[in-house]
Amino acid sequence: MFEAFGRKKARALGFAGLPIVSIPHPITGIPLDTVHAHADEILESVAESLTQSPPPEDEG
Amino acid sequence: MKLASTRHEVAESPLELLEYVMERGWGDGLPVIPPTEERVAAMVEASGRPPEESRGRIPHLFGDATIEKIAVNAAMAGCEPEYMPVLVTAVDAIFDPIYNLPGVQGTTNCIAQLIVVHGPARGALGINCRENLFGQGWRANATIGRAFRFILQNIGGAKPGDTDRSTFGHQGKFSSCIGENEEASPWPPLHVERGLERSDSAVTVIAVDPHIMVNDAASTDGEGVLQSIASSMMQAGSNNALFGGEMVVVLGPEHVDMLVRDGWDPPRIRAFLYERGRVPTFLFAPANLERARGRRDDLMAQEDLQSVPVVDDVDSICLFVAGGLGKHSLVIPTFGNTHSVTRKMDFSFTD
Repeated sequence: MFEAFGRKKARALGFAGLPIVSIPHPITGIPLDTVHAHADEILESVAESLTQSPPPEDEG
Repeated sequence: MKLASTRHEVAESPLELLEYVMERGWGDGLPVIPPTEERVAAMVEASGRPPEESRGRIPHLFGDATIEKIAVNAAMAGCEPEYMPVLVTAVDAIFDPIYNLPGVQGTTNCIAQLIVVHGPARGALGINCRENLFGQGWRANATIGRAFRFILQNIGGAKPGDTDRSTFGHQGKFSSCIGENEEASPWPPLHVERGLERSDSAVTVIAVDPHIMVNDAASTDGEGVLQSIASSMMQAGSNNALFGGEMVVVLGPEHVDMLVRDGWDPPRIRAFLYERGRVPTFLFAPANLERARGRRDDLMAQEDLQSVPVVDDVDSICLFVAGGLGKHSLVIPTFGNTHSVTRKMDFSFTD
């Protein structure tokens, strides 16, 4: 729901290639174990995003 | 005057202009006035500021709110040039961190930005403070509020259904601008309570939820009227119950007459409403009460919590007088995580 919004905001702030990892909406009003499951699902992607080099257009 | 904006060639037909504007996401669905070079220049000149002067970058997309860009949106909304100082002051006000502009711009909540104008500017600009002030029929109210929405949408980038993610929207997102009815009360107007002079013109900006009308034509004393207002503040599902913040109470002139007659003044009214407007905890869904307790420092420490105040503290009831005859007042909840901001207009008006 907010992914396109996040991409536009990143672009506006000069980070067009910012890696964005998403989970399904909503994140409120759901059981805690579902929240944990969503977190587990994206853990590797978040780690990859944090450790990979930024895309060329963002360098410098 | 040198203007920097891109020029667009558009047919003179109002329908073609509307289609052109809507295709580019600049409009609100209603016909617009062409922001011609001449019209924009007149707006800039009336602001008393140079066109390139920036008042700040508006989230989400951080467009630069220059005087010229404000003027283009004002022209498109149908403003008269002399309305520009209201818009520039309102733009300045929303950059105050207590307003929480990044939060209110993209939220799923139903938030409109309400502009309240105080002081001589109201008369000089023809801003309605009386009957039907939130409704149709007054150009200044209609077009200033509309221009402010255009500024947030076109400069700030809060596009409905895209970067503006409001679940329901809000009628006030078309336009929301009123004047305080200072003449209907012996009390100091809001801008004077907040440290300005009565002769100053000022703007207050508030991030509001939908309004709740209070109908009390039966009470014969001020306390009865206040009890009706307090009970209208008690909504367990409101942002204010969950997050505190500030709530707006607009007193109608007939209710004010009764309150003045019975010796009430704003500090006593706020104290009464703060205590009587608390939401009993049994009205909350249990999980929502826990959510409130987790977000509010004032509730977290209380073990035997019986009721929840709907604002941060007694001074967080934004109280002023407006409207016409009739035994009505308004309660206007807010985004919760926000406080209103009042700014003096850097411009002199003669009423």
